[in-house]
Amino acid sequence: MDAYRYTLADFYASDSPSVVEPPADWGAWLAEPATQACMALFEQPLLAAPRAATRIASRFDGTERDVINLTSYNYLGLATHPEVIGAARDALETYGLGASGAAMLSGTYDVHVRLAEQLAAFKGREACALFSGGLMANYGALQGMLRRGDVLVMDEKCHQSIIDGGTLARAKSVFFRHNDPDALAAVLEAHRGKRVLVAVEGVYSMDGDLGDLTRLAPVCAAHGAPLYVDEAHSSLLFGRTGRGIAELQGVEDQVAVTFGTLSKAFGGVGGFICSTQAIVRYIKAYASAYAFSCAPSPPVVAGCLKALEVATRNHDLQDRLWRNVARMRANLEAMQLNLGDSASQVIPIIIGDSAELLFDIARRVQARGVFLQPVDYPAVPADQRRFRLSVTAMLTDTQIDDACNVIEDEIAQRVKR
Amino acid sequence: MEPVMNKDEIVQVIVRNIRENVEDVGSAEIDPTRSMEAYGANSLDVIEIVSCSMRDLKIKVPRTELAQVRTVDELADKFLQHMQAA
Repeated sequence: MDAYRYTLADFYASDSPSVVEPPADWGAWLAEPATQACMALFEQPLLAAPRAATRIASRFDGTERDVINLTSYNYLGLATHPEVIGAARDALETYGLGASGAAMLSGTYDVHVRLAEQLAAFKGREACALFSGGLMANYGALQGMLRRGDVLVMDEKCHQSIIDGGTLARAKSVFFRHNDPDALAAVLEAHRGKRVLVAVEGVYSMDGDLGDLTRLAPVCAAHGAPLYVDEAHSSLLFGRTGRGIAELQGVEDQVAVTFGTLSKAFGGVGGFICSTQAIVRYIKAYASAYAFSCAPSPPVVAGCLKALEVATRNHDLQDRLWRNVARMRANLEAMQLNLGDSASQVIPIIIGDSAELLFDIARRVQARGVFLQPVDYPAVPADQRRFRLSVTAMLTDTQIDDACNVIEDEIAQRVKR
Repeated sequence: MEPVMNKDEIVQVIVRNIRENVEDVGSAEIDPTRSMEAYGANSLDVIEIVSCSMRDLKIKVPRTELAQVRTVDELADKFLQHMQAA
C-alpha cells in the first residue's frame, strides 16, 4: 500500500461487518510506517502552558524539547494571563471544579449569569446563551432554530460545527462558493418560499481570510434571509470595540445571530451565541447541546469574565497582536511563500499537493524547535496542503525572527512558489 | 477474475446512487456530462455518492485523485481507469 496516496477521507465509508470494528484496510493503512510517521505529529503532549515558548513531548522522535509556539488559539495570551488565572483560581476555591448540573436545573451559577449578561452587552445584543463547547454552541444553536424542511445556506468554507448543525436539525444543507454574493443570491433564489438561514464566518479558520460580509449581508437582506455569523477567530480581535468582523465591516445591524467561542482569544473553553431575547430563550429550550449538557465549568466561566475585562479595558493586547502579525507577515512575504488570502492572525503557508513533503518538513521544523503543525486533506484541498500558523500577542520580536529563520531554511528553501 | 465492467454499466451504478442520495433529483433525466451539483447534490452528497458507488463496484480509489471530478462521466472514467489498472 502506498500510504501517501490515502488520507482520512478514504476510510469514512466502512465495509466492516460490525460497527464496533473499523474497516480492515484502515488498520492496514495505520500500520504502514509512513502513516505512523505522519500520525506521530498529532496529539503530541504539551508539557507546559500554551505561552509563546512552551515545551513538548515530540512523538516523532521521543524527545522532550522547548519550542516557539506558532500553533495556538491563545491569540491574546489570556489563557495564561495572571489576572485570568487568578480569577479562575478564586472561582475554583469558591465553586469547585464542575457545575454539577445542566443549566436549566442546577448548573447556572452567578458567574454564568454575569458572563452571559456581559457578553450580550459586549456584542450589543439583548441576550446570550453559554454552551460548554464552541462546537456545541454552533451545532446546538443551529439545531435549536432550524427544522426539517428548512434550508441552511453555508459558505463552502464553513466549519464542521455549522455543517453538523444543519445535519442534526435535518434541514437541507446547501453550500455557495466562498464569499461569492452572486452564488449566494442564486441559492437563495432557488429556495424562495422556504425558511432559510445563511451561515458565514468572520475569519475562516484554515485560510485566515475574512468573510466578505459587506457584500453578502445585502444579498441576505434583499431575500429576507437572516444571517448567522461565526466570529470564533475574530471576537475580541477585530472591530473598534473587538466585536468582530461584522463590526469591522459595519454590518452588525444586518446580523441576526452572532456566535463566538471562549476557547480562542478568550483563552478558556466553551461557546456562546447572542441575539434577541426571544430567539435566545427559544434556542435554550430546544438546543440539545444546551439543555442536556452539564453547564460550563465555573472556574473557566470566571476566567473568561476576567478575560473579557482585560481584553476590552484598552487596546494594548490587540496592538501587540497586530504588530506581531505585521512582523511575521513581512518576514514570510520576503520569502515569497504562498500565504493564500490571509488577512488575520491565522496565516497558512501553502505547500501544494505532496503529503510526503508536508510531513517531512513538519518533522524538520519541529525538530529545530518551532511548533508549527501540518494540515492535510480533507481538512484543506488536496492541492493546497499547508502549515497553519497562528500569531499571538505573546511572541517577542526575537521569537518571531528565530522561527522565521527555521521556516526559511526548512520551508522556503524547499517550496518554490 | 471478474470481467471489467464497461463504462455504461459504471455510469448506471453512479446514477442509481445519485437517485438514492439526493432528494431533489426526483425522476429527472440525469445527463452524465452535467455536474452532480446541477442535480442538487451538495459536497456531502457527493461524498456519499462516491462511497456507495465504490462499494457497489468493489473498488477503492483515493479521494485525493477524485477531488477535481464534477460530473458522472468524469467519475466513471476515473473508476474505469482504476479497474483497468488493477
